[in-house]
Amino acid sequence: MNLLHINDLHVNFSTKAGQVRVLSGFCLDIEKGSSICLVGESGCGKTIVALSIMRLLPENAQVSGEIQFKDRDLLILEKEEIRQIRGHEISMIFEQPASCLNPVFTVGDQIAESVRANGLCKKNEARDAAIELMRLTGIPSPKKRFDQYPHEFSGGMLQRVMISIAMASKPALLIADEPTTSLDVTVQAQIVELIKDLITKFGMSLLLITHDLGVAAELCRDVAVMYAGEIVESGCLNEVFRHPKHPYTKALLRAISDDGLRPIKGSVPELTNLPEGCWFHPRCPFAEDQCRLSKPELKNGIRCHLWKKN
Amino acid sequence: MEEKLIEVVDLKKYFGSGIFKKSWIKAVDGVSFEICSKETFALVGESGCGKSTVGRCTLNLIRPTAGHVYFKDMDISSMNEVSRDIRKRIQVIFQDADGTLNPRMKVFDLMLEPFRVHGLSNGHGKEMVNELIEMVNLTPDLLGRYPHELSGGQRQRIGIARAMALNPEFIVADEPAASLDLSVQAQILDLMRKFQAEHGIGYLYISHNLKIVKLMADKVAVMYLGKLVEVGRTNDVFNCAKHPYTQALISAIPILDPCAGRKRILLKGDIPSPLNPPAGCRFHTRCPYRMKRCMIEEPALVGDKHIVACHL
Amino acid sequence: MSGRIQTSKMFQKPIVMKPYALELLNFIKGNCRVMVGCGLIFFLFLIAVSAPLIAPNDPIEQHRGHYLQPPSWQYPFGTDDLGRCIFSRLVYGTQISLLISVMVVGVTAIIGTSIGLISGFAGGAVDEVLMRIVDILLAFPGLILALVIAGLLGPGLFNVMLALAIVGWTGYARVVRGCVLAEKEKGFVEATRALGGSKYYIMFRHIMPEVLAPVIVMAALGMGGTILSASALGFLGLGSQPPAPEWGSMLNEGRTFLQLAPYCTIFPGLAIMLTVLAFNFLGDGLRDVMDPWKKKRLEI
Repeated sequence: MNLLHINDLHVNFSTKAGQVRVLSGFCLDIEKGSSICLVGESGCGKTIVALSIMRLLPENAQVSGEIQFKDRDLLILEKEEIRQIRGHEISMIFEQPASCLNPVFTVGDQIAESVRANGLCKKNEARDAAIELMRLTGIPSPKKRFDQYPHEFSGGMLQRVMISIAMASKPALLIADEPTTSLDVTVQAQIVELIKDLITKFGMSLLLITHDLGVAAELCRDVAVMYAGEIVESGCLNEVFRHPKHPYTKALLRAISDDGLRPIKGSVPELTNLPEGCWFHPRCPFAEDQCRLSKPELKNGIRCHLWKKN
Repeated sequence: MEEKLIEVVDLKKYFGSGIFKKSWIKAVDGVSFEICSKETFALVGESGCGKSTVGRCTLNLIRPTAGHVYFKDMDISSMNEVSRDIRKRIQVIFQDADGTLNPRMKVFDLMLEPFRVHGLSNGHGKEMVNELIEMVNLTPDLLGRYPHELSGGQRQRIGIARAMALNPEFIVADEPAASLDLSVQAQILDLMRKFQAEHGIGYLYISHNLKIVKLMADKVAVMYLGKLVEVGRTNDVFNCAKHPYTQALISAIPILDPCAGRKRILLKGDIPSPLNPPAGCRFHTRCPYRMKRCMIEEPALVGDKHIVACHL
Repeated sequence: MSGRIQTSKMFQKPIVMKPYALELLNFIKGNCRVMVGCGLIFFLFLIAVSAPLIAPNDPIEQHRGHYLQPPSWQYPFGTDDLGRCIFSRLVYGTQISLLISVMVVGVTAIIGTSIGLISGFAGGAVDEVLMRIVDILLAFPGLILALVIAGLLGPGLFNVMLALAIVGWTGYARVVRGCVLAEKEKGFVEATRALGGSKYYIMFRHIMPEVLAPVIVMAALGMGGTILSASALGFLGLGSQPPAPEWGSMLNEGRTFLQLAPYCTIFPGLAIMLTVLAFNFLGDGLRDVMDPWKKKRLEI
């Protein structure tokens, strides 16, 4: 049984410049207890997937397709119902924890509030529950830290607080949008370990969004590589990272590796001005005539005309 | 060995803090190193360890509290305002190209600025800019745009072009690729390497990304709370790191192959505040091997080629 | 949270470049208040310039026997107690009002901006001294101080302008200094320093353009304020001396006959209100146009 099933998701934004296609025919399945990672460069639509699931897209977005979560289509649910899911069954953590916390309330209050919002316990029990959550996420001396304000926390600690808040409801699915990007390497390692522990402990599913292939490799079992709003390659992370089939995945993995720099030529195409045929062909070293003419379909987890040849 | 380009001797920068500036934040506390031409010297460390401050002091963009910076035996740290002639020869590439390009100026004016500042733009500014923009692999149609209309990679290229315009001998690169995407990072770094090979530039490469440092640098210095803890050739530092902090940093680099077995040294806690650094060895609060001696006595940098500050 | 979406960054389209002035013009076109303000001000200048053609009568000629007449074809806004045509006086008064506002605002803006720039740039003792002077001037209510100065100098148009100028520059200095201090910390200033740009280069190429936007807005708003203050001083008898047709003094002269001949005060009052309103519209609108944040929002 799939926990989350995204089928043929299209997201368009209407801007002054006209319609911009941000996601086109995005499909993704997340099983219960599995961890999947969306990797890709900025502007490839990774975050839009997360926001679509949470129904947090801006007003000028048009969404079509289906997002099945526990047999309910999140896209057609009423606002009230989606609120019941958001932060209860699906939680999300963000890149910038400092900007997601209210600076005028103590950290503890904000965690306690999320505990209470879930209706899991009474007001007087919320403090204990919050302290328990802080302990769970490895915040040292939680009783003392409970009454401190966000500015008294370091970046790593704030991310732990955000994880505490997300964990308050023991969600079935945790969406982590670049959770370690703004952190230092040693702290990043701590947070990665923490998330790893938590998902195994509570049997959560994880949807990780990152551009850091290393973090993806540490945390996830499956991976989907995105380029210009669609998946170009997906599959078991082990397999994909060791034997990448799509030229983009190959190039991405080799761009900065131990044996030197191999930059990918050109830049990500603008979404308003996508090339004919395969969207990657202008940058692809193997491109052939058919790549320029027709757009490949996603077959066996890879979107390329030539993958059998390579 | 190549000639010595930059020599930093016992550099210190304290910032006053508190209402009466009574307490000092020791952002940089006694840092010394040398950089030769054609050499990339990397300064690594976590945020707040003072590595950017070192970069700025090296260029005398902020004045150091104590210590000296010599550029080819000229003491630039004691100059009130670095002369234009020297400014021309030492340049900087910033991390945040967005903030360092004036949003009201078009790309053309931004690219012309280095020449204009030095009074070289008379007459053939246009050709110079065209040459420059080709040098960083951008197309001339960008010249009429404003910085916010460009991608991060394009902006960083303009930042590099501005630094390269005057044929400098030494460049401080302060996290030049940190805010960019992976494929663009590789492009930018490749570009920097190309210029180094062509013009024999010496780099002071400031970064927290050890993976890139390993690729780019000839020498590495690891900084922790305003002090160097380990300096050595890149290979030596990465292959046989001696300081426990360096070991932890290296082990924290996420690696792509999920099956590669390795032991990760997880450091506990965060960097202590530089306002009130721990006594003795500054790292002892997080060090897995700390001894009694570490809490009392501050270790000195010892060694010949590969220097370490640790009692172990 | 919405910051994460970064719609603007993601959908950058190739933008056909326009010169800055043209861009500004387009924004002004979209802003209704600026349009109304600009239109009214243009209209006022037109009146001021072509006063001799518009005014049906001489503004200082006293028509015997036509005292306090209600509006008629001969005297469109009526006459005052000395038999002077109010309409003609208002038309000629436009010249005086605009002259005062343009001169005073021009002088104060230039002085204030220069002092603000010096103060912000030099810092240290210079900054301290200049800002304390500003503090002292700001400690007095502006109009009262102007009243005192004008009183000491003696009544007269020039002295009123001088008094208003002495009082008015402080605001500009404050705003400009704050702006300079903020700009000085920006990345591109450091970047230019690293390139080898001198202090003067940075000041004129990078900081001045940033500072100019708030100064222009303040100046536009200040025009209205100056006309109001000048009228107030005129009303108190300190402005231009009779028989010069100054709006404030006209109000004062008509005050005695408020019940008998309300048109003596209503029309000058309306003129002052309309002019001040026009400049305020312009200033408010310009603030929106020049605010880069708002501009960005408009672009999306």
